[in-house]
Amino acid sequence: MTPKLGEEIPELVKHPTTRQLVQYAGAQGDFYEIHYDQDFARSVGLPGVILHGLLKAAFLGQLVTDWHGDKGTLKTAIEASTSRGGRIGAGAGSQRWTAIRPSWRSGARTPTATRPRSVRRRSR
Amino acid sequence: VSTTTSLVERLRARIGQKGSLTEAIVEAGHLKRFVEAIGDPNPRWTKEAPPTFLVALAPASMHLDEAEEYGKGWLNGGNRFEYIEPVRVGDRITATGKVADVYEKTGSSGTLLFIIFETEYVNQHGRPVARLRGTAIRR
Repeated sequence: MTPKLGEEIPELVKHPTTRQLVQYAGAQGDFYEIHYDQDFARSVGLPGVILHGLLKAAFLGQLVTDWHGDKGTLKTAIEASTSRGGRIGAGAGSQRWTAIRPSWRSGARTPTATRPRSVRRRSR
Repeated sequence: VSTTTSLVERLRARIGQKGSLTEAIVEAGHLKRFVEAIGDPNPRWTKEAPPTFLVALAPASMHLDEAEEYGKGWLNGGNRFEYIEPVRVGDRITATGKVADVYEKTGSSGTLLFIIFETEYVNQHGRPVARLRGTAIRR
């Protein structure tokens, strides 16, 4: 597979729930209350519970490894949170992440560096 | 000198400080729970660790008492992973973290404290498998 500059990576849609955040808290070992306790999250100035930044990073990892399969190797991955990203609102059903403007080293035969530079969240 | 300024100065004195060494084995059961939690059904992750699994083996940040005195809570300001070699079930990974930088920055939502942690992960053969540079924010 020779990726072309500007080629789009297929979209990955995730539907995180507070249940998943609790599951992730256990699996990673990060029990900071802003990820499952609405009152605590609000008490520190957040609008509600938010995703672990590293869970979003895992979603980006899946986005890239699903795309390159066994034809490439992940070299660098960057997850940069934004103030609006990753919030689970009361009653919100799902959120969607799209990595836009991925890039890799020019002239590389395989995607030696895939770098989802920014993540856009859209509510459905 | 305000309280906040001296607090930041005390934290800046931590730059370069190393955390304790953490050693952990990549266990199949832990890996299974982790991939279920992230919701990635790729069969490759029964034997190999997905990109971010290393943070479940060793903490990606160090506990700094003084940081808790700043603001009300933590936010994750981003993570940059660099991969050198795949991590597989049975590998024994040693992680060493350090405080790479501490600074204050004023943005649209007020003044925030940024702490940059760097972690290096080495396998049982003594070879580095990955590096992580994470930004923790106090606000």
